[in-house]
Amino acid sequence: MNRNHQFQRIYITESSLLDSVTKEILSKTPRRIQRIIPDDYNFAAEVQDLDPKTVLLLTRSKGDIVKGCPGTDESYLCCNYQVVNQTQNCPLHCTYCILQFYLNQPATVLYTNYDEIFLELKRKIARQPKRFFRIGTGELGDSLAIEGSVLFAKQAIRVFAETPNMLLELKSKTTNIQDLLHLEHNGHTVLAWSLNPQEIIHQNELKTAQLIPRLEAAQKMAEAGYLLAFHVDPILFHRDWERLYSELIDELYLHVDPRQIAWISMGSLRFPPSMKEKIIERYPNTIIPYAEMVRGMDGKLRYARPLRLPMYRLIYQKLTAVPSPPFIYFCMESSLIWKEVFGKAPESNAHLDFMFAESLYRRFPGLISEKPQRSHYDEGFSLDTLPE
Amino acid sequence: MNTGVNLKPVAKPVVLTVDQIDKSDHHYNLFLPDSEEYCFTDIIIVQKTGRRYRIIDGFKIINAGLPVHHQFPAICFPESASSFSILSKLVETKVKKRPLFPIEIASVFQMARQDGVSDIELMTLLFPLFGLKSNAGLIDRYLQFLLLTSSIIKYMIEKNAPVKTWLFILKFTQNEQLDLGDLIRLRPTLSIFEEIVSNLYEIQKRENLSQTDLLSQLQWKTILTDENLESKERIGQVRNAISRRRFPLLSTHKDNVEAALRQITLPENAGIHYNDSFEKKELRLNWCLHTKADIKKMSDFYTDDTIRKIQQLLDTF
Repeated sequence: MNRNHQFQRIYITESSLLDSVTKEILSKTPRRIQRIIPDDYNFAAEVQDLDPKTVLLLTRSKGDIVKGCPGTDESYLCCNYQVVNQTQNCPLHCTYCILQFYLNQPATVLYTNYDEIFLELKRKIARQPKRFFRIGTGELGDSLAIEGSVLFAKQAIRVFAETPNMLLELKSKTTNIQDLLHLEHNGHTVLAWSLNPQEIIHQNELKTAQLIPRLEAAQKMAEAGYLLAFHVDPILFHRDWERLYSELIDELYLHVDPRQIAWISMGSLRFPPSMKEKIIERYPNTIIPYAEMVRGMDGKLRYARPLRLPMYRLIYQKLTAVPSPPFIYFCMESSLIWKEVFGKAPESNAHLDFMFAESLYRRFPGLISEKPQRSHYDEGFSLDTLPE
Repeated sequence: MNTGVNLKPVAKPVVLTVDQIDKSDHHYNLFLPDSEEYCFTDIIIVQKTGRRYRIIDGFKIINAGLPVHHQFPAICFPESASSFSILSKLVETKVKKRPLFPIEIASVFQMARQDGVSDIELMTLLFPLFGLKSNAGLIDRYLQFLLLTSSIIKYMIEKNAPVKTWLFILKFTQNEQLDLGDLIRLRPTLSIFEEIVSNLYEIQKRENLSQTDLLSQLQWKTILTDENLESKERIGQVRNAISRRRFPLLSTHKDNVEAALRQITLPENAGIHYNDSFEKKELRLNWCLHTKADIKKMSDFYTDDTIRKIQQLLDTF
């Protein structure tokens, strides 16, 4: 499939033309929509009437793009995930997506200086050789929705395959896996999908792959030896949520063996209050902003605890009702919720990071060479922290 | 861009008598009076129209019952001055005195549109005076303020409601606005009004319910027109009913917490507080200590029975 079809205009900075991947991306797009521009050219005024999702900028990154996931404030637990922001923005249209409001740029940005990005990554990883890193490309965009992201993923899979202490996570709501099936991944890439019941996908995840195709894609990747992950996030309140989420987990395990799942996250809908009116304006028919939400300790709106707790409990119960259940965690949840659902909570973000490593070490022999030590995680630091 | 508008028409000082003014001409009477007081320092602005003069600014003074031969100084625009150039000047004068109400801005846009002024001209020449961002869509939205019911307009002016509240009220149809009149008549504070209408709107959207049905279920009219109750009580009852409908689980949760709280007998120098978002299982006990007797009350409070009840209270979280 053509993963560039959504673009109405493509800007290419002069320096980006030097990168081989730029030529590869451009070879699959019509010349008439391509514009070569100086590196410091500001094209914002030319595209002010266009949706940034339909404008592509191929350029070289100027600063660091390997960073710690920003997570949320200290009132909620985060997992010390690391991200590579090579793709910024996403062609999919999810009603709840923070990117469409968070990214204040006129175009979808793809960095083409892959070699430099991988050097930055290796340089930063080398500073903490005893720690095992989970690193994703799906933080500011879908990992596989556009051509330039898939090309990056292909090269990243090879780089990660050769680096012992890091695991790549490609997170998607598409089924664009064909180009990845036969790559040498050495078990160091996790293919992850966001999951929601089909009815919710239909109403809120526009232009994404439907549920069953996502699960079938996951099945194929598992057959190709990749590890899998799933993110039941954002869980959306629906009057029939018990049936919908229950059936979702049944469907998941019908397609995928839990032993091949590295981790599953749960998280409920949350967004900054300023996003509420923007969601209503952009998607006037959606009812998601009208649920029972409160301002959480981090200032974001989230479902009230009495609403989200039963949803979490049901999903967790279903997810763990199999032999050898996967590692399950919360994304941006409070210790209180952890304890109420799991019966225990990590002591800190570093502890949660360690729990991941420990689970991977135990469940996937050979993936991590040495038994993880808690102290390496407690003393660890984010990849965007400068060395002293 | 050729606006075709002479923005600097030559206005000259003149001395006029009241009978030279055409008091029936309210073409430029777009603004609310600046103050309840008669203000001698206000400059009267007029335009020559044939043999008489039309008031541009100073309606209140001219109509204050001055004798017909009373002389006053004024600034006079020539007959040839374009309507928009006068309007621009008028707006400039007004915004120097105070920020304009959204409804006044709407009237300015309406008049300019009727005079054939383009949206681009409006954005270029007037938006900066109003402090508006360059967005043509805003003109139509402001114009819709003119269609709000008169009771809502009056209330919003009285409460000096911000633009976001005016824009929010546009989500209600005229009939729905008329229903809001029952509440407005009781003059709730702006923040309570905003909370009630926002919750009303969001319940309707979430439950796919008409406002008529929702208000009837909430006994809106019955409560708000109940003459046995004080205005504050009526507003309080409606507010509570709507809030419970908007946040049913949280309300029930809070009821349980409050019931457990009532089991604890607190000395008068103590208070128990909690955050009603219930994101934390946390109580705060405050003590006000002045005397030894206060300290004694505190130490006497922590009996086994009270501690058990506090634990029960925490468990309801």
